[in-house]
Amino acid sequence: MSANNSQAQMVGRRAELMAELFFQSLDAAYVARFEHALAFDLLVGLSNPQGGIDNFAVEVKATQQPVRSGFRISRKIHERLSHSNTPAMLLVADVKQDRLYYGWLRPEQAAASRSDRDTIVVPLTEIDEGAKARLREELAAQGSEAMAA
Amino acid sequence: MTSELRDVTGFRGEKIVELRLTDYKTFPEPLFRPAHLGEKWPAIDYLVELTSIPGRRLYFFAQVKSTTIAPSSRSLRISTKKKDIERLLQIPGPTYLLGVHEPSERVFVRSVHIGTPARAITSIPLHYELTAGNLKQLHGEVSRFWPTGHHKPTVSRFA
Repeated sequence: MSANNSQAQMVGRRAELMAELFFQSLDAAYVARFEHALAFDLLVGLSNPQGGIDNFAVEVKATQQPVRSGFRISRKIHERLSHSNTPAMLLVADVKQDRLYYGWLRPEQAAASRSDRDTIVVPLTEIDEGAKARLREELAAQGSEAMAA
Repeated sequence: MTSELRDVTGFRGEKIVELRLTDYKTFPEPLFRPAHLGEKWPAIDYLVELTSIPGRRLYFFAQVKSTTIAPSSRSLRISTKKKDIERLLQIPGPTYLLGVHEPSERVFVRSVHIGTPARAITSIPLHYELTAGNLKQLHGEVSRFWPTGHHKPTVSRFA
């Protein structure tokens, strides 16, 4: 195995672990991973106050560089996830500094990146304790919106 | 095309250990490459390879013990059996217990080497926490052992 492959594997593995531990810290009912990556990396379920489970998809990206306010992902991935009936989140793991960032994937983000054919910038929020609390509220709201639709 | 969906909750302690061993906030790259041996492997949870040693693939074995009980002012309480320690003493090479306090995601290391009594170990001192400094100490300790040709270490900073 080449050094580059090994480094890439390590970076990817750290991002996986950070993501899984993060969702477990939100008391997820389940955090599921596909054996072979298909539409997204993780499917996460959180219990809601009505006794049901709110499900959402997560695309995990790893980086070793400081994360600014947004992160570029391929337009194809963005289209697939933002136009799905399951709410989809982009989770970016700075595996060097142990920081996580998240952003919901929404169709309107494509308009802001119209000049770039291949990638779309997704706005991100760093996950700290305050952001965790807000994220719990957003997830509850996502679940309510999906029910109302 | 279908793909199996697998729930990855659980084994929180082991995930924390893997993250801690590969932490490289203060290093250019991780000092270790852990490989999980699977639940069915007796006595050992991880084979941990040392990185940054040209031409050699040195390693140690680790057994993970997780707890949700808060550490005291001096140590983390862990639960091991006499059989766990006896098995580790039988394995050639460096072997360590890794105690994990799950709520705080802190990891502590304790060596099982020649001279360690063959009885249950119930605590790990807090100053054996796997900080960046202790990660480096652990790397150095294991890399110094292998050229000796001995069956097992006789001393450890994490005794």
